[in-house]
Amino acid sequence: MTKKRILVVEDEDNMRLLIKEELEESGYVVDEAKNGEEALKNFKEKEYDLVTIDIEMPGMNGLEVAGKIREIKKDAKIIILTAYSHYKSDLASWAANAYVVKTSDLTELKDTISKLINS
Amino acid sequence: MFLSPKVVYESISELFENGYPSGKLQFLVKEIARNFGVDSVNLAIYEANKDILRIIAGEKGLISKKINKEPLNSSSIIEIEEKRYFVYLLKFEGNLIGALFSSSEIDYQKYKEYIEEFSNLLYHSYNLFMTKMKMQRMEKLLEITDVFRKVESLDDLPVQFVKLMFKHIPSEVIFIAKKEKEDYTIVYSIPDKYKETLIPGFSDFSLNVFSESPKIIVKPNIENNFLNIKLKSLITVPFRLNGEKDKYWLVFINKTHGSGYIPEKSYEDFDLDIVVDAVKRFKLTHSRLTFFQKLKDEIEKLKNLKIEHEKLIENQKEQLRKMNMVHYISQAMRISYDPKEVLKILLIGLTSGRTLGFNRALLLLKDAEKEVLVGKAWLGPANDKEVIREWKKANQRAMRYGDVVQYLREESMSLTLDNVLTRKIKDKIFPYKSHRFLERAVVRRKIVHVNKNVIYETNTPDFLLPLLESDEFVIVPLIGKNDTIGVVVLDNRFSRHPITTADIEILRIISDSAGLAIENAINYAELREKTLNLEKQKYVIEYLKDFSELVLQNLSAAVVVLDKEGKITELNRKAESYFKITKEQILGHKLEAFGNQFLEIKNLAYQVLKEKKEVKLRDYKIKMFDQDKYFDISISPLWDSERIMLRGTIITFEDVTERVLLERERKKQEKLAALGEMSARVVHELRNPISVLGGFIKRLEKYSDDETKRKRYLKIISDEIVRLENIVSEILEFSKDKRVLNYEEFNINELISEVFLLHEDRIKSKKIMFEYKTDSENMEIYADKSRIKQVLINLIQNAIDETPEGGKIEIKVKKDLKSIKVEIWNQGNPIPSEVLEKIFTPFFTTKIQGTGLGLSICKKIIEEEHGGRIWVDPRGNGNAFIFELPIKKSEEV
Repeated sequence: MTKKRILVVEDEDNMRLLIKEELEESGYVVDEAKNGEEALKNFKEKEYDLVTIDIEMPGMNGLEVAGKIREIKKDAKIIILTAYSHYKSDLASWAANAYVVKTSDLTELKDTISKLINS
Repeated sequence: MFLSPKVVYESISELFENGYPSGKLQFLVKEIARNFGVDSVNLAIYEANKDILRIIAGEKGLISKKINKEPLNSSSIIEIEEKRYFVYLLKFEGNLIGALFSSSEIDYQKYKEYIEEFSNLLYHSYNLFMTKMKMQRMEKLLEITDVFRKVESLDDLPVQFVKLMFKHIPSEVIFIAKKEKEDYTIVYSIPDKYKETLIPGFSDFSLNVFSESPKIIVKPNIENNFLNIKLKSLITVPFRLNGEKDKYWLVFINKTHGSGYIPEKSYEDFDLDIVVDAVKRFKLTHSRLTFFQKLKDEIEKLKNLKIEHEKLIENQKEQLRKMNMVHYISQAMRISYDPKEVLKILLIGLTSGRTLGFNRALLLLKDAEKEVLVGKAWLGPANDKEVIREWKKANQRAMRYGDVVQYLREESMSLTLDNVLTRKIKDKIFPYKSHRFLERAVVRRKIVHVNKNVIYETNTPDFLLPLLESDEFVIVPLIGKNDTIGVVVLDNRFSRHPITTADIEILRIISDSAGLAIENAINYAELREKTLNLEKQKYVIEYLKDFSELVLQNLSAAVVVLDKEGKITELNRKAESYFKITKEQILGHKLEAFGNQFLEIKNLAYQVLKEKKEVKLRDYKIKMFDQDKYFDISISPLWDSERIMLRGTIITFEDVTERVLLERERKKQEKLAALGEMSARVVHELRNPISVLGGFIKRLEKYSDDETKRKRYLKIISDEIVRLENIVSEILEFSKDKRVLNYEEFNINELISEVFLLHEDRIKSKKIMFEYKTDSENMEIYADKSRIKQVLINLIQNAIDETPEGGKIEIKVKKDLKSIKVEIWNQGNPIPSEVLEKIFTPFFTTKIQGTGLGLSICKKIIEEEHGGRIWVDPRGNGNAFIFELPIKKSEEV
């Protein structure tokens, strides 16, 4: 079985590294993007099974990136990572498939990813 | 003499094709008679389906006489029409195919070969003809297929089908009947007149004709056939259509044909085969057309679905845009402290086409005492005529800005709320109690969506509906910390766009955040006003002091007059009450009689006498009766009336404790509010390093045996800890009140070089041109070196951040008698004026990263700790941050 491919969009190097290492250990192929422009470039070039996006980034913010990605592929699976728990409200739910609050414990992120990828 | 095969074949074909024995056949028979040497010969062929012999040619022309073949064998004699004939059977490979009836006996042995040859020819001619006929029928079938292929409409199909059948199997009647419950109805027929005829289920006809399998019925014994036709023969073929439960029959009645010889007058198996086959093709075509119809329907559905889907995506995009706009509106409201401006930002944010795009927004604020709403502002076009013009202008303005927050703030500054709509409602009272919409919004804090249905539910007279003149509007409560502070009523009176549930969801965020922002702004404004009033009072006092000594006694300030020796010669009532002493007790004493805390003032009074110049002290703290009191103190020389002789000093003490405490309270409030408002930013700032730390600590535990990973993770952890410490210390720095300063003398040029070295790498990597000018090498200053270094780090860091690649940074250090001025200029976009006002405000930042505390910390260090001044001056093609520090400790100036 081929490995699922995930694009991690995150502006902070160490955070991105952490997510990448953890997801690779869970058996995914992980590509990185430092900002919205890079993310869109990657997304146009390759097929991704899922994209995680940090909400607060310089330049395009996470919601904007999610919107642009959905313009390219309307059923793209997207998880928004956020420092604020209130983004979990229903209102924003259509902009992404899920909202995950950033913590040191990536279990929730991994669970959400596997749920979405297998759905 | 043998017969020519051509003559035999042509004779046989002619017979079958025309139905009449031709001259050729007659000639053939005569030829045979001549050959036999007899008077006449009759030719009969064997009809296998009836098992008879039929005479087709002979001395009397066509006689079509049937003869039972049973008693016959070669050389028997039969009597036909009272004449005797000798019989010679024609056989092919042992099977009977016909017979010759000769008027006289012939020598069979002599003619055996001739008869066999003729049998052969007859058989083959017949076969050849039948093959030709089959081919022709095959062609018919092909034609049927072809016709079916061309039919494109489902309705047309049965009609075409029946017509086709009629053409190929001519019959008196052809119809399609459908079973309906117990009975049968004719749905198509040729001739048309039988259409819709009902045939009862238990009639003779139905029981015989509507069978389970295809069949031919010859000479049926049916009494009532409902069609008023004499039934001779029928074909009936039952069928079902794909995907339908209904049962149908295709029925042919009475084959029609010309007169003459036809081997079979009623329907034959071949006809049935054709019909069965045609029905199959009909069913296939029906399926195909049904399928195509469904496909067409599906495609149509898909097309509609696609359009809907695209609409949905459009809507989602629009919602995403609106949500971003809500974010910007909240941000714009948060960074403004003027309540009017906050309200304007809210109204513009709700109505501008650039942001949420409602047509009109009516703002009503709650008067808490009277428990009513009061009209404040109403933004939007006044009537249809204004719409296009206003929106066009507004859009042009909106599109000039790249940044929405900036647009909202500048638009709000230039917006005057004296439009037609606002004049209609300004300061008008809107009672919300027991109002069916407003009460729900104000008291229950619900967003109330009113549309046509709701409006016409009851006929209650209402002041709101005639005012709005709209079919649909939404009332959004503005919810403060404890209470609803007002409502905004939104509608799309001109565009008539419906208000969607998604819009309501977005308004819910506005409802929560706008209320808080307005409340905060109002609180600040009240605090400011109080402080300002106190300031004004102070000016009045100074004015009076200058013009009349007589009013001294009535002043709110305490006045103490000293003579040249420093002895108290006069004090007013206020002074008595301030210092809790009577005039009699204190006159003639020196100032320290009030307490040692007055020593410094006494010394200053001497200085004033000497320099003959007034000295002012602001917010001077004196501890009195175990309480910290703050005074604005002025010590002025006291001249005689001619202003020639110096008589002493006059000291005024104004108690500003209340103002100082208020100011402090205000600062604290601002700080707290700023902390609260921007805590999200701090949470974000802290959350990342904390999450990263936690994450890598877990990984470290997991991979503690892996040397390379361990090293790498430890490096990341230590980096993140440094980052975390920096953020935490910035926040602590900001919230800390006092700090003990370590004053020392140092050369600021050296400190600048030191800080420059810290940033050298970044300056080089951005290819920034760096220029440094100083008035003199030696720029000694007395200050807290580490604190000033912090300021320089922050300012140079900012300068590098804001300078474009290959840009320029200039640092100038200037000195005058009392102070040193450091100017850090960088090339970059000049800071717009509305940002200038906020730039030293805690947590204000135009960057994504960082706490937004850097410049406010600089201000604190320079102004509060060192008594200097810091400001920003956008000039040239960039911005200069300038700070000025006293050379000596401020108290010693």
